[in-house]
Amino acid sequence: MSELALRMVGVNKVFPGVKALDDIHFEVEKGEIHALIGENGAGKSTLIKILAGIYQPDGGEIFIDGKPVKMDNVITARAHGISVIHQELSLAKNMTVAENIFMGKFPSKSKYFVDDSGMMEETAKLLKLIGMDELQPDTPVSRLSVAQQQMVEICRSLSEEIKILVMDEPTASLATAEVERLMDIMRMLKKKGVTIIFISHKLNEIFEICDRITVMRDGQYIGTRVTKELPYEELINMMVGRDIQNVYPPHKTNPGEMLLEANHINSDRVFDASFKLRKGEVLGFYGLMGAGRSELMRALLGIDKSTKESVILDGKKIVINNPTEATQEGIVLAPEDRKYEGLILKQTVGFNITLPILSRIIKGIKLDKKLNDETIENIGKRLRIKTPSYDAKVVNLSGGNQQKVVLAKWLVTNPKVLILDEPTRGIDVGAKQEIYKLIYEIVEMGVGVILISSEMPEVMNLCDRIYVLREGKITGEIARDEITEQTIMQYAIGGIES
Amino acid sequence: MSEAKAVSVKKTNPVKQYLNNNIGMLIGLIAMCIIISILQPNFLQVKNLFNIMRSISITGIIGFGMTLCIIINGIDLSQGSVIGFTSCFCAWLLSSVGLPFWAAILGALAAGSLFGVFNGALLANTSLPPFVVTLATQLIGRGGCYVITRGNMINVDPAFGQLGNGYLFNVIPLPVIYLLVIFVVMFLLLGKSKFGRCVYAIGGNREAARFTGIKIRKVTWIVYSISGFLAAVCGIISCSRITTGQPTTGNAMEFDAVAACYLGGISYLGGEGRIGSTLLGAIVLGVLANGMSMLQVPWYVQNITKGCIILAAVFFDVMRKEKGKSK
Repeated sequence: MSELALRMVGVNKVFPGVKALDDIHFEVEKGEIHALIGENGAGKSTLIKILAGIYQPDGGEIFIDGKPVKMDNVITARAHGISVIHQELSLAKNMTVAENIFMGKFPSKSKYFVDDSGMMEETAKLLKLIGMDELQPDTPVSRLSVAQQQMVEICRSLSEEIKILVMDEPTASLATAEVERLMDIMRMLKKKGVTIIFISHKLNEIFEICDRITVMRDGQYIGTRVTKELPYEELINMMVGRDIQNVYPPHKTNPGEMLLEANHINSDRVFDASFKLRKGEVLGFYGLMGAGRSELMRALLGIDKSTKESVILDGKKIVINNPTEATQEGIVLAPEDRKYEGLILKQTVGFNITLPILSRIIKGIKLDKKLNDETIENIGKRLRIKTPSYDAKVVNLSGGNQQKVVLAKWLVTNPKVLILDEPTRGIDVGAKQEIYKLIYEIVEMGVGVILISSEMPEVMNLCDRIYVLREGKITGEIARDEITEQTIMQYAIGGIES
Repeated sequence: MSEAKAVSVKKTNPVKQYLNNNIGMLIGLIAMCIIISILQPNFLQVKNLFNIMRSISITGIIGFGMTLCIIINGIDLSQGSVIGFTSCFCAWLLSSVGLPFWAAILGALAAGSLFGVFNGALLANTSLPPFVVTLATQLIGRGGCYVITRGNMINVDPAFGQLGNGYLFNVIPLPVIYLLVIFVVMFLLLGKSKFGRCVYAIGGNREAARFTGIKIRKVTWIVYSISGFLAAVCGIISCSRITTGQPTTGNAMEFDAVAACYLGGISYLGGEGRIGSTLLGAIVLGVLANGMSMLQVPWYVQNITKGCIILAAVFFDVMRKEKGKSK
């Protein structure tokens, strides 16, 4: 075996309620391009953040070039030659290409002044090195395309002495030609002896460029293989094969007549998506990060700019231009990020629950106290919200109970279609189980539930039917008895043959 | 009894809650009153207390409008200018146009509301920041004062002065009555109406409010219109108090309103705060000014004191919040 550039041994990381990393072993050889792959939430980003000194591990050791090191913070990681290009680019948009590349280490001749011309020259050299001569060092970054901005990030890494370059989904928002170019740069860097860790969901890219592949799943290390010796099916199995825990209540839905038909929805991020939902059905939408699941729902509700050929609810054609109209029609969305889109955290449980039905409980300045209290108490009891009182502020509730408040808020409007976007994200197993039970109780009343989830077992166990999305398109529809992890993953990730 | 823990909607006593929310400021106010009255026993005379209330009537009234703006994460810097503009406009309508009192008042109210509507329409339909928009209308309004008065004063019929200088039952100054009436209306509007809840929802979490289907534009628009209208009320009171239209009237009054809000504990982050707190903040400012005047503290020292107290109030508010967060 050739020399190891990086060795991480027994790395653990616990977040409140979640074991994000469980005894991870990760070895990267010098000068290779190493893929790190796994479902959303597998722990890839957490591992990288530990390597970059952003998170501190709860246990385990890191060796660089065989020597143990401790990554106290981003600066020590950088001093050890580790450079990370994060998914969200971290450039100062208002500053020039050169300024961004040399931020924090501006070249200078005297003590107080930046050596501008020197910085421009250096930048031009770096740009040339990666074949981006067409960029001018003094162009503001805001004028560059996403791909070009990524190149600037790469230049920033190259301006330092790097040993290991980590790229977290660099191709997620790039077009094919741009991806080719990025790969050329990666090959060039490899020739120069840089070790690259490449995180991507796109298998064809990984098979094309990576020497070895490490698979992670649910915070655990699954295995490392040489790319050439790893068949595609086996990789999929490594990614999904898991024991399904017994947290799912028995499946007992009984889908009835057609409730909602959405035909040919288009937006910036969604392309020609059509789907159908029945009464009393739990309909799943699965896709990897950025596949466009949330965006599809946002387009349906008119939150994002979109065009829809037709939306038919209960046999009637309806028009939805904004979330207010959607709510009036009985289509409601419990958004992905409950803290930023779902709840008014500073306000009480009762305030949040009654927010969509203010017209019913307040006439002028007269609060219908009886109706108000009854509504809150009924729904609170039904959803088993645990709170010291309904006058408690939502911010003090646990994640699971906050999620129940979001559900309560929408259930009081008697919706026809309830869209749940990642309803169990960041809540513990017990609370998840509660939410699952509630979902079944809700569909029993004839509501159609759309469940968006990144957790494959969740959609597999709860849903009557699953649509799989990839890159903004619906790539597959799977009925309950045909659902297997392999089929879902194939639709989600796209075969390498495609 | 299968339900082990029955959660109920607690009956909260509003008086208790008010005391609870404002306990720090109330203690400060009482302490201040005791100290001042020891040094200057005249302070506690009924007449002086009503004087204080009259002196804060304008700060209080525009403070209520400012409270709404701050709760939805905005600010209205044009209030002082709108007071100036409407007082000059009112004087002009009375003297130069010769309208009867009621018509001039209506005209001035309309003019002030128009400023608010303009602010609101811009803020609701564009993404311009409130600070910039209302700073611009502040300049426009102040400029307008000089246009109307041509830089001079406009004297009005002394009888008009009754509105701002008169008393009810020979004891209670009329502006105090206006303050209390507007307080009750605003209290009901913010605390009890559907509109009020929407205001809190928008200030607490604009995205969530949008997802819930609250009409953010409409609410924003109304909030700034109310602020403009209340400034117009103050403009008319000012005009009547001095029975002249003066272009410098109301200068920088918006900062007293902001100070009253912050002193009362309206969160500078928006989404929280009650009308009653703003009233309390205004009273504290009034007592401070009155007390220091009685003790013959020079006005510039008064300003320094005021600045320090505002800083301290906001500082303690932030401390309290951070403590709450780490829990």
